[in-house]
Amino acid sequence: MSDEIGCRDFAELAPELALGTTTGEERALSVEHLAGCARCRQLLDELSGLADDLLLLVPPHEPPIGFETRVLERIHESRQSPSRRHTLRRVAALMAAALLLVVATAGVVLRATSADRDLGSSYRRTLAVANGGYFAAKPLYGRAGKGGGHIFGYQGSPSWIFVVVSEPALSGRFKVHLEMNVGPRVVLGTMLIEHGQGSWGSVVPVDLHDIEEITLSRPGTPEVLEAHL
Amino acid sequence: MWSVSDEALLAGLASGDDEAAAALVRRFQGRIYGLALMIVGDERTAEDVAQETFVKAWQHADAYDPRRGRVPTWLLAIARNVAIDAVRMRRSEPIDPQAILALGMASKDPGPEEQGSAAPDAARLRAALARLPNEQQRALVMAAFLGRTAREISELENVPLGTIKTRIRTAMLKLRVMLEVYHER
Ligand SMILES: [Zn+2]
Repeated sequence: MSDEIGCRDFAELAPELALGTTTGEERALSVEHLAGCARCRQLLDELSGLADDLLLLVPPHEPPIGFETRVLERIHESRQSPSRRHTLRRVAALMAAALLLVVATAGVVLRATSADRDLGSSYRRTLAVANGGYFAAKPLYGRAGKGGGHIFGYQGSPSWIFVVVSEPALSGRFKVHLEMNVGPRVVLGTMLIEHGQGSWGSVVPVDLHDIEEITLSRPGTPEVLEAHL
Repeated sequence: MWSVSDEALLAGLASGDDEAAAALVRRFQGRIYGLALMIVGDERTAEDVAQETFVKAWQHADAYDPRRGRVPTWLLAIARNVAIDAVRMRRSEPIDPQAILALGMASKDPGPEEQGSAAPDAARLRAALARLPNEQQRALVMAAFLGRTAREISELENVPLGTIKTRIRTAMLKLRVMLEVYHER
């Protein structure tokens, strides 16, 4: 996929990453490095904290009279809509952030639209969580070894995984299984791979740390792709 | 009410406690509105942005993770993103970073609000920012507050992209070093 970057390259990118102003491609380059480098995660963590603290320097300004009442009214209105929708939207945003990385890695040029920037900031938050070891980006292994795609895992409430497959030989519907340290194997769902390409995401009902591996298989054939989280 | 923590108020907001919601709004409305006004530049939009910030805080309160940052910075980060979107939507004149710096962002004197508990950190950061060269302050302000990418700043400042990237990087790394010295970790 992408060229791997080292600690020096990452240090160049880290300040803009912390400020949330990097391009999709730059974010994609850094994610693989971060997944395996605790020192750079620490650097990004510190710089992100610094970027956030800058916001504390802005002088306060009292809003117009009646502001409090108007805000509380709006919150009351929003309460009418089911809260489940919010959760799903959040999961969708995080998944989209993971997808964005992959799209960028695949060489697609992304414009710095508002949506992209939103994703950038969700991504940054995801990375921030990663500093605690809660974000995983692991390669999928096919029969021929590495190179079948990636799995992104996010530990949160809810936790989710996002599977991206790029394996020319594959096509069809695949079952996504989840294997845990203890207990039976769980079928998470079915993923469609067309012409070797596919992406699929799901909320996972378990702690990410308890997941041993995730496998993709088809009825009648052994596991074709697997990743160890 | 004075002794209730920010986290408790946020939890109250999430669970539908009206009193907690009102207290949270009262506690943070000045900072949220101040940031919004600084980024969008007009009162009407600033109020919209500040309202939207609290609605989003309510919607996403369950995503708040105390290990990753404090409530004030979490709320301000939401406000910043909402404000930047509002500016982009209206395609208004770009805000002059110098006007932001003139608000006393970079100064050796503590701000009026810094008598409180968060005071020492903010004052140190303010003083550290004041020690950066103006060109680095400008680049940092445009990225940190106005959400500008290095490429956009390069166009606005009419300076090569590589130079802007260096300014942002140098500014952030210098601040980090200066604050580390203060912290004496
Ligand atoms: Zn590294």
